[in-house]
Amino acid sequence: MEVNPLNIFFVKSDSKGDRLLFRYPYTTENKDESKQKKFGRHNPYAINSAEDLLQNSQSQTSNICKGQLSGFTDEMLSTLFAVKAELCNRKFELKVNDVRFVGHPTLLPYRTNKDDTAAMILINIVFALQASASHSIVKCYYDLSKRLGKALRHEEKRCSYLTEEMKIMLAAHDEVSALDSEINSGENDDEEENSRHSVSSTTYSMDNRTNNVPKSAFHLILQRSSLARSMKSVFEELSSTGIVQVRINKWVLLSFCLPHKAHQIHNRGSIIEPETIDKCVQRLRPYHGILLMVNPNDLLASIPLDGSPALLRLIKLYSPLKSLQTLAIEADLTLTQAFQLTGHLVYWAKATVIYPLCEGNVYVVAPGANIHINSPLVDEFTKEFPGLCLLQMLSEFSLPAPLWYVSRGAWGARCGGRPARLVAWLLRRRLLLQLHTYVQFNSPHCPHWPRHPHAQYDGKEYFCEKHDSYYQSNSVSFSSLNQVQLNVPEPVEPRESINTFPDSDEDYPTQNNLNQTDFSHTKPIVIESEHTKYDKFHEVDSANHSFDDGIDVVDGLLKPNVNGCDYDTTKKIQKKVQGNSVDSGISNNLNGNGINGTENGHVNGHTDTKDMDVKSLPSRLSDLSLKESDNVINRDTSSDEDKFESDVDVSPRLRNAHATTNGTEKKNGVSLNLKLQSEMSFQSPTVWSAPAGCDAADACRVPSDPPTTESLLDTFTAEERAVLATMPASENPGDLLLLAQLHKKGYFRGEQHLEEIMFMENVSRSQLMQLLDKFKDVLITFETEDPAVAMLYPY
Amino acid sequence: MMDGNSKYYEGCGQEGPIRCIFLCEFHHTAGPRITCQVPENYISKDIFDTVSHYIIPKVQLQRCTLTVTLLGSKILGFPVRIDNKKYARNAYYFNLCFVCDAWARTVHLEPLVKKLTEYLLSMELETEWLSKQSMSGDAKALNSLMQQVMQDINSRRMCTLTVGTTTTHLTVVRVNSDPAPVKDHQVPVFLYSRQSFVADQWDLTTNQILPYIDGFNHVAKIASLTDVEISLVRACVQNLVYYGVVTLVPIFQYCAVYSATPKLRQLTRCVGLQRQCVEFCARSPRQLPKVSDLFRMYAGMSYGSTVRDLCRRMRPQELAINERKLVLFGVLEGLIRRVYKFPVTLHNDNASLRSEHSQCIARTYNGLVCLDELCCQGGLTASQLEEQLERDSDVIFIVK
Repeated sequence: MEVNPLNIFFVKSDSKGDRLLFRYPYTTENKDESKQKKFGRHNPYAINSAEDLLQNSQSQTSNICKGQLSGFTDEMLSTLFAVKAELCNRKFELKVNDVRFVGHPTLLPYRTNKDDTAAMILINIVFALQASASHSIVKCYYDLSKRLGKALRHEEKRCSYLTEEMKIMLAAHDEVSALDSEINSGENDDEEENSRHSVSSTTYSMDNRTNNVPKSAFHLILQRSSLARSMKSVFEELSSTGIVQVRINKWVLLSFCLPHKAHQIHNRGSIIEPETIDKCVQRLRPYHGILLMVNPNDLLASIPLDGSPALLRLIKLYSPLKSLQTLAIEADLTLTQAFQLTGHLVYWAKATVIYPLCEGNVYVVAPGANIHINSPLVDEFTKEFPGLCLLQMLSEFSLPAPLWYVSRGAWGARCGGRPARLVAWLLRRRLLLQLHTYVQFNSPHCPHWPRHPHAQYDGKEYFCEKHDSYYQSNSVSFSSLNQVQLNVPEPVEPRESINTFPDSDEDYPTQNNLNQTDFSHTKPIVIESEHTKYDKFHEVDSANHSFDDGIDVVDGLLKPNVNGCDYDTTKKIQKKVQGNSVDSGISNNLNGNGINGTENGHVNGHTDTKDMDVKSLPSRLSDLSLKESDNVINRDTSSDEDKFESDVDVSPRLRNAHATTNGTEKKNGVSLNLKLQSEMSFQSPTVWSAPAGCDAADACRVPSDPPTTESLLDTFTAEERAVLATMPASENPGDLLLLAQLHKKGYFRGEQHLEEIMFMENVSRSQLMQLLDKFKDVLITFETEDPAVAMLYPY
Repeated sequence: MMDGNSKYYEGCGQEGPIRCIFLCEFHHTAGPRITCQVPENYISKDIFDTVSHYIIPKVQLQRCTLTVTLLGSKILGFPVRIDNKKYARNAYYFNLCFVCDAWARTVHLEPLVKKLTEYLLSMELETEWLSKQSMSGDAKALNSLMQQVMQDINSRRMCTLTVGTTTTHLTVVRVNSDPAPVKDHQVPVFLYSRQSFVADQWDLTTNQILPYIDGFNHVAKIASLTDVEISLVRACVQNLVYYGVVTLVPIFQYCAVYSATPKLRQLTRCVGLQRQCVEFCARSPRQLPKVSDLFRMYAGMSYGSTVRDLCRRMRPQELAINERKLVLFGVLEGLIRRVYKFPVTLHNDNASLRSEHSQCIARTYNGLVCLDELCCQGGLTASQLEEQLERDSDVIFIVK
């Protein structure tokens, strides 16, 4: 295992010179073994390579022998680790063949015996690792060395701990060497010479000497010195669990975790780097939950007395059924705090991130799951759940089905109808992986997707780094593989087109066929004046918006932060529209009109909902619908007309719903949520969408721009509307509006799964499923894992 | 120095250029010192003094590759000592060091340093070239040699040195961990254009199997098509995998199951990926499929639905999509992943009893071998094998 340390060294260097005071482990393999190694595996048929042109050419390539360090003498190491003063207090990294030494040389003042004049001493606690260990492992070891150095500096300052310990160690060294030279001095000289000169010798001169006498110096030190014992336990804890909890001098508590190792306690063979955990924490959302890997009571007991009370509360209230948001509210934490604590727990391998357990979850067997028939998991499982067989259980998860469906099977009854514990067990071992359904809005006539998802590339197309470079270098791997050399088309504007599916020739407008086809049905390319026109509308928009705000404040129904969340979404839309108009060439001069009209509509909508005055609606709406229909006529897609009218008619109701959702007083929400949680312990945690959640979600999405307001349907481009109009489902205005609303908020970009939409938007699963079914021509669903959760899985 | 660039941090895993090459010797009176350095004064005297005992180390560290990371740079060396009465102090110590930035990966340079050092060593042993160079004061030949190494390695990753009548070749070889053993049912695919593949660089067997590596033939089939022993094919393919020329993908079958990965959403936004996908998956270059159709196909891949089901439902031939290429592209780009089916023998008491009696009939499946591999071993079709296994009540399937 490249994660484990090979050795730990403690070196000092002061005015009296450098010395390796302690190392662990210090026993080496006995000489028989090393001899065996030399002669044992010698192929009698091998040709002796007598062709050694170079002098003493048997150069050594490995310093690791049977998992232990070999080929270094203590004197040599101490000179290597006793660095010059210029290199102190910074990272020390030295690689010799396949061994990497890492440490943090610490320079500290210490009191010499009698006079109080402080001399400087350098100590270096060095870890020897396999050179193949990744950089993040090395970094962790460096950090540990640094912390040990700091702890020692502190203890030296407080009570001269280091001085005392060093005295003990030096005394033991002197004692042994004195004893040694008394007993057999002559004998060992040769051997020592040997081991010094032949590098391949696997014995240490120090140990050679001490092998003959009953005690080695390091053995003595280990008995006498508490510091040596601390180092020993550091080494042993690193090798066994990766979690170090050592009290230096019974005073300074040193807690350290090597996540690469610690995560292997629960899942052998999975190496999780701290960088992965950071990334995972960044992607955490309020609907995520945590699953503790250990018993919560044990965890509580293992937390030191000065542990954060927030963490304690979180663990006490923990349940795998709760979302982080619920936990945060219950434990009286902010969401960010809850995220940080989660990251902390994950780092220390105490928890993993999941989507809270609920019966609607779909699980499949994880690709990296260990399903060997003799794996220890099989026995562990049978011990935990008598009468059940792990492999049989896993085969039940071969098809993606909701948990309630799976648990109706044979085993459901046997585990007492409570599959939560069982699934939690399987999730802890990373045997199961949850699948989510993602939805992608597909505008059939516009193959040019990238414009939709984010408007953040102002007129530029988005390339991910990899493919960008492909195109830059013009060496397209796949086209060449395909033996086809196509001219890579330049970005082309999507054309507005008719409702029916055109010939497939046309629908991917490469430059070539664009040149061939007539432009009769494409609109002229954008003119500069259009742009300025939009700028004007901008100003109007912002003015309107501020007015909007005013209303909110007066009415006091909507909280400011709720509004802010509205803001974000509208901003986004505005940006999108702008993007469309400026660079996409959907530049019908009526669009401006449209914006104007719909904007009115939006403001109206707001006021209406707030006043709950539905009666005043029709007049204004008719106004709006007139404008809209104008639009539509000019666009030659007259079929849109009634659709739009009907939409607008309905909008207030839905808006109303939306507003109340967002506007719910937080306290109400809390109590409601708590109640719900306590009542239905095994329910989906998607009860309401709190402002905090919205904020968090919105903040993740898109950078903001000057805000405007837009009608919901304007989130669709003209072609999309045309296509929608042809669908029978659009007849039902309620469905259409829900679609538009969700689309507007960006839920149909394949980034948020159904559960997230349910959580954020307070819609029920059945509502969503119906919607997906009705609009299945434009909504493509795909099932895959949540990347934030899947990150912690081994692949 | 590129310290300011955030892309290059320690541990980023990228290779960096050689910043400096210097030769360091142990002078009999002055101690360790730099004889010759390219470019001049990259390593200052002060810095050198602080690190000199890692560059001219104690006896036991001679002939070890040493890498020391200090003060923002990495120094690689291979210290050498020549014992001979003719030198002052009866020995000649030298070390030729490469200096790189601290963030750079340098493992691949280690063999290079070693080889170059051994070249200098042999010249020193034969003609005392090196010690004469250092005596001469300006060390012109050595200087130009180091200059050449640095330039050529940084720009072309290979270098040919000629001094007098001797020649040596240096090449940077990528150091990768050994690839997993190749299995018979796996399919090799070229990762880059076949045209840029220089056939002369490879051995005869590799050249023989090359034309059959088309992304669809699996190893066993290649072996039978080329009439090459299958273990040789495996070895060749493994070698190609090591050098990153090919990668291995699962075999295409209509009964295979794939699942979309989170990376699939890349297809909705990266234009470059879309174009590649459209070009690659087209049935004919004249008629390109639609991105949305391609996406729909990928999105339809999930646990429990085979490629056959998908093709029946979506009719890719009408959409101008070549479904084989579609799957290949998806796997290569990581948009989809293969979902394997593993037969597992349950540990019943009966089973163990029976296996004692008739071991060859009831074969145990330990959960490590997927159906593909079994089919390939037994020369059965997937449906035949599945039928056969389903009759065995002790065998269950786990899909992952």
